[in-house]
Amino acid sequence: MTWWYAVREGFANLRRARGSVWVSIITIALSLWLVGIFLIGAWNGWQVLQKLKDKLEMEVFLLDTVKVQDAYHIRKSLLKIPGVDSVKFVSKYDALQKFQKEFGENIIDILGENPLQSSFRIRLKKSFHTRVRVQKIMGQIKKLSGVEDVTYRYDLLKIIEKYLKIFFGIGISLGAIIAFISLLLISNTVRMAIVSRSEEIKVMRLLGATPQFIRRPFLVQGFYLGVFGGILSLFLLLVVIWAARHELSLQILNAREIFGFVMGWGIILGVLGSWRAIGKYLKEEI
Amino acid sequence: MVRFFNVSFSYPRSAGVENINLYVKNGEFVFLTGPSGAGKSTVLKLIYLEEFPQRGNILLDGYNTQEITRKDIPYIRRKIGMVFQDFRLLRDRNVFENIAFALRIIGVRRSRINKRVLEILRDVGLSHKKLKMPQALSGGEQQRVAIARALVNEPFVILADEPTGNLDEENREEILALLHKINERGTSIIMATHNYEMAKKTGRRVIRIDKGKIIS
Repeated sequence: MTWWYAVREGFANLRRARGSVWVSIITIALSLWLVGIFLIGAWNGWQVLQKLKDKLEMEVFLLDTVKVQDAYHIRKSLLKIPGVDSVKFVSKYDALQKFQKEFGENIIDILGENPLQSSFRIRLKKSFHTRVRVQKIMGQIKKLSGVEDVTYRYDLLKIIEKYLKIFFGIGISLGAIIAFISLLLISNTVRMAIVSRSEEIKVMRLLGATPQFIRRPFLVQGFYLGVFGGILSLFLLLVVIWAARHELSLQILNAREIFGFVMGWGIILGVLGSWRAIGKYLKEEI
Repeated sequence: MVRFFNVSFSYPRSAGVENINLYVKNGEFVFLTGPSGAGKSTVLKLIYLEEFPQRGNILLDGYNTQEITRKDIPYIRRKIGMVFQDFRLLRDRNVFENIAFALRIIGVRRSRINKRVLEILRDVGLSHKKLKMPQALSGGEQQRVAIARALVNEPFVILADEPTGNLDEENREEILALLHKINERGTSIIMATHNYEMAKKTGRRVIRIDKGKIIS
C-alpha cells in the first residue's frame, strides 16, 4: 500500500514538471550513451589487446648440457609455476628447422654445428600479462637448473599497458564528469518536484506521515528518470552500433553486459541524484 | 490528556512561552485566549511537537517529551488532530481526497479509507460536496473539511488554531457547534483564539495567556 503510493506519486511528479523531466531524461540518456560508447569501444579494444597479449610468449632457453630427460623434468617444474598456462618444447632440431624456413639458409653448412638452443615456449594465463607478474615468473624460472636464459617482449608489454591506461583514464574521467553533470540535473529536477509539493509535504508532516514515506515518491521519481534515461540511451547506442556496422563496416562486438551496465548506471544516477535533492531540501524540513 | 510541567520555550528572535503549567483532561474543551503574539500558537506547536520544550516537559497521552525521539513524532501526531485558520487543504484534489489523504499517508487500506471518509463526511454534513474542489467551497465548508481531516484518524485531542479567524459570524457559530459536537463524543479540544468574549460565552474553561505566561 505505502509502496504503491510512492510508485504512483513518483510518476505524478514526472507529469507535473514535464520540461525539467525531459531535460533530465535527455541528459541522463546522453551521459549514459557516451559511457556506453566508451565501454563498447573499451571492450572491443580490450579484446584486441588481449589477443595481442596472448600471442606474447616467454622463451626459456636451456643449456646445451640438458638432456631430453632433464628437459622433461624442467617442463614439469615450469607447469607448476602459477600463471603458466601451457609449455611447448622446441628442440635444437626444431629451432634449426624453423630458422631454415625463415631465413632459407642452412647454418650447419656455414658453422659446421647447430648453434641454436633447445627452448620452452611458455604461454601465460590471461591475468598474468602484467610487468610485475611477468617479472616474478621470470625470477622463478631462472632459478631452475638447466635454464640458461629467459626472454620476454617487455617493450611490447609496456606499450600495451601504457595505451590501455591512457584509454581507461580518458574514459573514466569523461564518464565521471558527465555522470556528475547528470547527477546535478537529476537532483535539480527532483528539487523542483519537492518545492512544487512543499505545501503538500507540510500537510503530510502535520498528519503524521513518516519521513521515509515523504521521501519515497521522490526517490521513486529519480529511479524513473534513471530508467527512462537508460532506455533512451540504449536506443541511441543501438543506432551507433548499427551505423558502425553498416556505414563503417566495423566488426563491432555486441555486449549485452554493457547494456545492462548502462541501464543499472542510469538507475544508480537517478536514485543518487534524488537522494542528494532530498538530503538538501527535505532533511531539515522533516 | 495533555499536561505541561513548567514548560519554557523561546525563539531566537521572538518571545515564546515561559513556565507554563497546564492540564487538559481527556474529553475537555479548553480555550486558549490572548492577544496575537501572546504565545497561544507556541503552546499548540509544543503539543504537536513542532517545537520541543527548552525547560520542563509535556505529557501527551502517555508520551513524555523528555523521552520521545524524532522517530516517534509522526506516530504521536496521528493521535493529534490539527485545524488552522487558513484550513491548509490541498488545492489539487477534491474534498474526498483531501480527507482520504490523511489515511492514505499512514498506510490505511483502500477499502477502509472509503468507508471511513464517507462516515466522517456525513458527520460534518458535507456528504453532498465530496467531489467538489476546496476552492469551490465557502470558508465555513472548507474549515469543516479541515476538521473532518483532523478527525478521521480518531485523535484523542484536536488542536484548533484560530479556526474561526477567517469566517463570518454565521460560519463561526457553525464551526463552534461542530467542535462542541465532536467534544461531546469524547475528543478533547484545545482551541486558540484572540476572541475572549466568544470563548467566555461558551461557558467552557478559558485559559488566558499574555506575553508567554498564563495569567488566568
